Amino acid sequence: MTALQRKDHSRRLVRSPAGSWRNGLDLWIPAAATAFIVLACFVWPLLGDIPRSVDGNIALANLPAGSAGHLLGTDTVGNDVLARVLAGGRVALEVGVATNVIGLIVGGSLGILAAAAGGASDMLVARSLDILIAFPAVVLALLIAADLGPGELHVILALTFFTVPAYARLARAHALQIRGQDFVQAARLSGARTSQTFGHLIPNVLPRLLTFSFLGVSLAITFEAALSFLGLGVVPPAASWGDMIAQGQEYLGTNPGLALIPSACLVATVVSVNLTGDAVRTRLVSR
Amino acid sequence: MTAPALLAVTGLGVRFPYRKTSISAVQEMSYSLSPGETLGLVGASGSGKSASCRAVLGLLPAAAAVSGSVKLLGRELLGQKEPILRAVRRADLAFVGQDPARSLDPTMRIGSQLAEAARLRERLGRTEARDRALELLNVVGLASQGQRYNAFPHELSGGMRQRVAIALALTGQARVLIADEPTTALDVRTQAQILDLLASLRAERGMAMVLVSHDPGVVSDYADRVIVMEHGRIVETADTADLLIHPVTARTRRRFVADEADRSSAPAVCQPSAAVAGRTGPPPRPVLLKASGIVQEFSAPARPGARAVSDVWGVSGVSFDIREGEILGLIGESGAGKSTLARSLLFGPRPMAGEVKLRGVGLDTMGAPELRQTRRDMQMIFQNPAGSIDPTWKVARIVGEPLRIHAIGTGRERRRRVDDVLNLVGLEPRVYAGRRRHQLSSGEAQRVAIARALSVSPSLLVCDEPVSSLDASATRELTELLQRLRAELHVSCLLIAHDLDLVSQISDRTAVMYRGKLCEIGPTDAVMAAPLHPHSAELRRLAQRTGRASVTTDDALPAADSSLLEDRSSGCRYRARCPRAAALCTVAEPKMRALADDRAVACHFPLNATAAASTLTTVSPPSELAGHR
Repeated sequence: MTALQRKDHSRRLVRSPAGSWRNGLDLWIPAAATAFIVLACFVWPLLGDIPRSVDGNIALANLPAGSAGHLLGTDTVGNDVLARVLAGGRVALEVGVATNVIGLIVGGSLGILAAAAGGASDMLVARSLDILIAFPAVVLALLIAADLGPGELHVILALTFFTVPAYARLARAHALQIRGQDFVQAARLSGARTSQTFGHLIPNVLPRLLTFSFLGVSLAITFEAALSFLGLGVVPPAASWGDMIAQGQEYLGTNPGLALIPSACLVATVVSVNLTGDAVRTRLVSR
Repeated sequence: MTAPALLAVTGLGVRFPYRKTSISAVQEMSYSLSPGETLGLVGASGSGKSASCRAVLGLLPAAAAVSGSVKLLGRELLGQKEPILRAVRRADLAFVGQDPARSLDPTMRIGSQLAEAARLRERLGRTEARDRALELLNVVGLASQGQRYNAFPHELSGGMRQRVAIALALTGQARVLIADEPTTALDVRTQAQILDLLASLRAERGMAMVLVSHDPGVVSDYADRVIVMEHGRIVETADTADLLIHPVTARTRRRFVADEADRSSAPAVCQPSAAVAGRTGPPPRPVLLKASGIVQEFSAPARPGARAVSDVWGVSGVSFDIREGEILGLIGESGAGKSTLARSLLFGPRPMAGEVKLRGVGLDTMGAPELRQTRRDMQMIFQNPAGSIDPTWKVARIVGEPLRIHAIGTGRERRRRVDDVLNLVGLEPRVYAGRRRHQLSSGEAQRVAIARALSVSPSLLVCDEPVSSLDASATRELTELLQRLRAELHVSCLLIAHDLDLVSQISDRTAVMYRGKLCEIGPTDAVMAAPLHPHSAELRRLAQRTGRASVTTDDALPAADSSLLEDRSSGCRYRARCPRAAALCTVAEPKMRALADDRAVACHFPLNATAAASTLTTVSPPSELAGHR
């Protein structure tokens, strides 16, 4: 017995020298950064010392950073920059999470169903996904957003045209691989119907999809910023990092903070989400 | 031992961090290796064999803590920086791993891989490296045609891939070759070829070799000295001859002597043991499953003129019965079509031609729901226990899966049944029910797979090489388990193996397959004692050879798998390798003939003809006509 247990441990350790969930700075530093960003965007404004992000007084326009009541100053129409950065962060995170949750549920189910069904229906789904993916994601999102008009919900809708096929294809590929494994064969040879093999497919495919979701969130955040930058996403009076960068670039010479602050927030968010995703992947997939 | 040590290992220890403490994989291991010597390293899986080899090679993950000293030609290796280690590995150390599929790059042609190694290790130019690669392919017995040079790893059989891996290790002038279970994944015949190849190369080049194996038979044949490891420690070191005669520790005695005893009591030596004799009474049991003319072939490579080196021949027209309560052994080399046949019997996938009848009812006449219902009665056990268990499920759920599929019983009844079958296979439910795959050893995982199959009380178990990925002691336990199940539950069993020992120990009847065709079938004692088909005789001889005793020179190194290229459109498939092949064999395909004593053979010129000639009633089952082109 002891011999067997020893083997068990050493083998697992050889396979994943990367740290466990409990320790490992590669996970906890980016995870803490991500958590900080989320809390700052959603909780800090509730505490009450941040001005409203809209309806600023034009008389207070272009205040420098560090002014009384306006930590990062005000923009060209007198709105508080910090308030708008946080409001833009809420939009970015909402879009990122919503598009990926929809993608994971809809696309993941579609991919697993297609792989489990096999045959003609699988073929049909796979080819449709290929066609959707063949369009450059940004161009597709641009077309849809232009057609629907601006607005956060419309951005989410447009970006799901990118996330659903991405998740579906990933889920299908992994489900096909799992379906070929002996434990699914064993179930089938025991008399399982296709529907009775989902119990094997879903828990084995899900970790892969969750791993991808971190990358998906950061991609969606970037796309949202791009759409808003082009005026097709979230437009004033609502705040968005993309829109703030677009507005601010006119004043790069006089007030560079207007463009640089939202840019820095965008980069920080994308990097910390991505690094968290990487650290999670080494832990989930090497298992 | 008078020669200066080439490799000296002193007080080697390897620890892996685990949670807050660490786990010791190797402790206080010391040995030395003289030029030209072969050192065998044996032990159960997990005893630290591989970890110690990897420590010597400097290939352990960074997290592992290595202590002690490893000196190669008097030079300390432990604690050296990676570039220096790399230079040492390039110049003086060579490594052959267990799984040749993993040590080769699937995207590179094998010739290019060899040439690359030759360029790096011998500093040759491109054309010289190419010549060197061709030469090495020759040395390892792979015909040096441009075809082989340009083959990708997936186009080669396991044995051929291992030859390529050895060729890779031969680039450069390595002084020490470390072979970590080089033949574990291979069948008996290929195993003998590879080990002979290693032995002859060692003799030619004066290399020293560390040969790691969990198979005492391999080590006792090829090693000069043997180290027995247990729990990361050396428990015994001795010359091979001494060890076999005077094993010191009980554990060693169990590993070696029990093994030897198994072999000698096997009917292979023509003395039917009481147990075996008792099993094969004259009244033949009723037929449980009848297979006739099963065909399951794979199409040739799509590209015209492509290299047809697939080592899977499918199944082309096989007929036999499995009787109530018997164990039918099915043996053959890898690629003979054994696994394909097993899956075809269970209709997963449905065979291309032929029929399978379970208790007289044809599976092909059933509708899908009826077939699903019938599957309850025939369960399969897979070769690789790790692959046949869902890593995300707990043992209790895995074992109960067939019950849930067939909606048998209430939740509580199912749980009780799961506990019962876990007990039956020797796993304490309270300990194991909540475990997942990574918390099981491979022997335990295979027991779980068996428990799953038994949960619905099937009347037929199809076991596809159930022990070939297990080490010696787990194999023995599992063999006992299968015998016990047969005695207690009267379950019939088709037992597929490339390991003759296993089949000869526990099966009532044995069938031999070669390249998609059945060669011979009959009571195990008879087939083992007096095989009728030359291929059965060859398999038996090889098994005895790798099992123990002398490696004679007369059958040194048969040409590697040349038979893959043979014509299979007509005549006997075995003729290219058959010592008795005659003109008739190239023209006419031998039909299965039923003989006395419940035996049958498909050969024009059966061995032991005097024994068989008395009863030549030529019976060709209808299937033999239906089953092929």
